[in-house]
Amino acid sequence: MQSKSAVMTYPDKNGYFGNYGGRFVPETLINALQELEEAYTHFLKDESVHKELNNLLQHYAGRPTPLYFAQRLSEKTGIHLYLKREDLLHTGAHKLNNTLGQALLTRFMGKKRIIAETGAGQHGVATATVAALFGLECTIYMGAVDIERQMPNVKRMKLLGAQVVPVTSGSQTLKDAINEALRDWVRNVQSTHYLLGSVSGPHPFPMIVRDFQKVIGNEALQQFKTISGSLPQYCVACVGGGSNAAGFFHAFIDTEARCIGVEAGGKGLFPGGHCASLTSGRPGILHGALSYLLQDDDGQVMHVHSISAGLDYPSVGPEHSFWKDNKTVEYATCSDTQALDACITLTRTEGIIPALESSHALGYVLHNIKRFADTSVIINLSGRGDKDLDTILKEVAL
Amino acid sequence: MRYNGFYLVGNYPDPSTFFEAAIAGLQYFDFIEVGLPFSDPVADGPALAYASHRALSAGVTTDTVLQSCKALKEHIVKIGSSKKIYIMTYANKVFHCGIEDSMQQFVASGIDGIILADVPFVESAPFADCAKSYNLEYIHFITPESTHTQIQTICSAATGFIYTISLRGTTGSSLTITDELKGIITLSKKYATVPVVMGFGIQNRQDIQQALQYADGFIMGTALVKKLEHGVDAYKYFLNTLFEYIAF
Repeated sequence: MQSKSAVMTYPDKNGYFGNYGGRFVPETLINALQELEEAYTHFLKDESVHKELNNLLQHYAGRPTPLYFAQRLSEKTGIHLYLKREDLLHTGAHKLNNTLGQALLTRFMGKKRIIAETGAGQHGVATATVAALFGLECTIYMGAVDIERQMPNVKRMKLLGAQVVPVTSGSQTLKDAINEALRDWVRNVQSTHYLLGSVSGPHPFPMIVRDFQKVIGNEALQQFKTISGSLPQYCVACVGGGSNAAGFFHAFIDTEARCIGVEAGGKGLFPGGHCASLTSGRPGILHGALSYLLQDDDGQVMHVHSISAGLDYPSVGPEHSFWKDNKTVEYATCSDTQALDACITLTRTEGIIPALESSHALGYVLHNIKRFADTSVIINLSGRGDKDLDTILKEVAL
Repeated sequence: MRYNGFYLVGNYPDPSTFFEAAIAGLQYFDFIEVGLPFSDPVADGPALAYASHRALSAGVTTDTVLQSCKALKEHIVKIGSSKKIYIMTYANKVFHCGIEDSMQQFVASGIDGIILADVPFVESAPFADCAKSYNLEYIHFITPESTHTQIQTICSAATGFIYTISLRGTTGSSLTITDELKGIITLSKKYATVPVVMGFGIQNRQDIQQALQYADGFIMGTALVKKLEHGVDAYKYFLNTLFEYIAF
């Protein structure tokens, strides 16, 4: 096993995290990826742009987000539970950390139009928000199934001035929205930046998105140290594409804290019943990256399921695949019902309605109480649950 | 150095129609690209994406397409022809079961080369090196985005032919031959030792004639797949009208 600090130096110059990552896109997009990498390199050196981003994160987005000790839930479970409140960030999820950063890169590249995919609609809303803020034209691709189950976010995107394009091909969810966004990018590569929302896709996206999300873990680590003078034993986050988890875990990977990524176990770990690509998939290539992938014996990407639209994706960011193989991070699953139960429990114990995505992280902890008994656990509450009310209320009688 | 090709989705709309259409096409073209359908074909426009999904729903697999390719190769050899069969697909279809195993299977099925739509030059080495070790041609792309240096590098590595993508877009878009495209083809021809073939957006006789003013050959896909959806007779009639009175 590599030392933990060595693990933190990836990706390599070719965009690989060990065996995973790369740039598996049509040749037409290669120079756009290069241009983005150069813009990012410039960004890293430019103190004034750093200041601008930090200023936006603080005064526009509302950072730092609190690290909240959930006292009643801790008493109930016998676990010292802390919630990193990304649900309190402007637009209601961690996604804005990344879209603000990429909006600055878009401006640097001189592009006037941004496109994005969205599953739960959180990244779509965060993208439409920065489009409004920076005066950019914006098109969001969203699966028709997701449009149906996340209607409040669709309305928010439209209100913000974005065009929302329903995707009716394939499974009509996040995966198909990414296919359409990539096709748009190939057509409009000169004018358009693809503002990818997770740590997935071709290099340099997994690196850039992770870096813009690192603020979650960096804050949480300092906040926890201030509160307790020590480190938590566990850091838990949900993993779909894996951006909130990657940004949260990064600060803790080189410490004694154990990081656990929780995938959507859906209705059960049978083909088509879940989205647990790290738990049940095998390496494959989709949407620009080599990573764990849920695929059939013929190399076709499988249809997947999760109650949560934001986790409903058959692959995962390549850095998570790397972390899984070298055991830097542990990966587990939480079923639809466990996530729903956790959502209700948090709502009625702490008065916080979590997104169904984030409810998976909490659900895993609440269903493994013995393992976590008397330990300190930070759960990344990556988003709020307002968008999920229709789904939740279908399952829960009021 | 004329080198014209056509694309069909493997075993689509059904194996026997595909086979008949492939043989009919090879009377006119120098090579066929057989598409191994993939669930997420990001380089394809709506028509070919739809055809791929239909094929997969009908149970088309790598094995069944390669059986058809093998039969097609036997036919080509039997009539004393040297026309070529390329597999056109996406990286995961070759990667998931092991690149080397895939190449072995391609060779055993009479395939002459491979084209991977989502493998750019920078990621091509593992695929291209393995293909070459099995004497398979590995086809690289040049696009309107390619720089002078990239064109030079890609041309020097090329085997089989250079696949020049005529436009920024997916398959089935409309063709406009811009000065930019003419420049890219001229540059490719300067450096390449293999034919420079233009694909994407070529839908009719006029497009073909335009493409052949500049490139060594052309590839037609979407237009033919669409015709084949109307039956093999409509497809053959279309082929005939394309090539009638034109000497390529």
